[in-house]
Amino acid sequence: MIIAVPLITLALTIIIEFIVYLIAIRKNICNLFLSAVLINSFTNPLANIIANNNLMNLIAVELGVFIVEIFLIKYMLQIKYWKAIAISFIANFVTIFIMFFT
Amino acid sequence: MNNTVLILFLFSLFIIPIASADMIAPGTHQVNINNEITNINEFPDYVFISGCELGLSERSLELIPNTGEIPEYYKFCSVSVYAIEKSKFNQTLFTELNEQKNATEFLQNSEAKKVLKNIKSSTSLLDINPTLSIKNQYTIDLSIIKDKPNSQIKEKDSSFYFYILIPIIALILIILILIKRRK
Repeated sequence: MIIAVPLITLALTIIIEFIVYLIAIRKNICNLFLSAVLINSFTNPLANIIANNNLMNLIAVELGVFIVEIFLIKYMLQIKYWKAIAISFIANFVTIFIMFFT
Repeated sequence: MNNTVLILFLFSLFIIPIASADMIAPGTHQVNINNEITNINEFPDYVFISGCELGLSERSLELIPNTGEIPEYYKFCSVSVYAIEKSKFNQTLFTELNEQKNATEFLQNSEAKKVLKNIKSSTSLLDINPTLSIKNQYTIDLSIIKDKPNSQIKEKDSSFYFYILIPIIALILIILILIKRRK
């Protein structure tokens, strides 16, 4: 089933971003995990749908995900903007890096 | 002996890229493209023929049926469609073409007009792409050569619709959590 691949990608993205959140915040693990699940369940499938239907360039899609995640991380994790920007950047950088180099 | 090794080495340089080019790249899957001419019945005085541009060999020309379905070719073929007036179309010669005659010569002698070009029979998509098959629909206009379909129908894995629901559900839950926190 083709859908299995996007679901695995989503699961891996959730795990990777959860680890980044955990390293950056180190408290309230349940909230961090829930946030990682919800934020990535929102952005990852949308990004895949947009990129795979050639509706937007992959870099533009990733940039969009980075910006949207700043706000989601800021409000879901209740942290300051600069920290949300840093976490979003690192989390997305790590996932893109893994996607391209594995 | 050294010359033989050198020739074999040079030969392998040509062969290896061809061999690897025929493989499916990791993380991708091959999807068939069905090509169809939707208005073929608007030209009762014409016969439509498809041909592979990758070496227009004797066996590459095929007659397009009245249903308008363009025959499938090898994935690296860039398929073209030609319109030939029925009065100039020699059925016997066309049948013999598969045995002996040259396709290019046949098209020239029949005054064939190219109406479609760059038609693909398959494409490589990322595994993450849920498309199962693609149907390209072309509307023929004898005065121009089209290289893009007029419309495209994509058949997607039905579980893809479940995949669309994930971000919607996630967004609803995020909004509910944020509203609850504000209260």
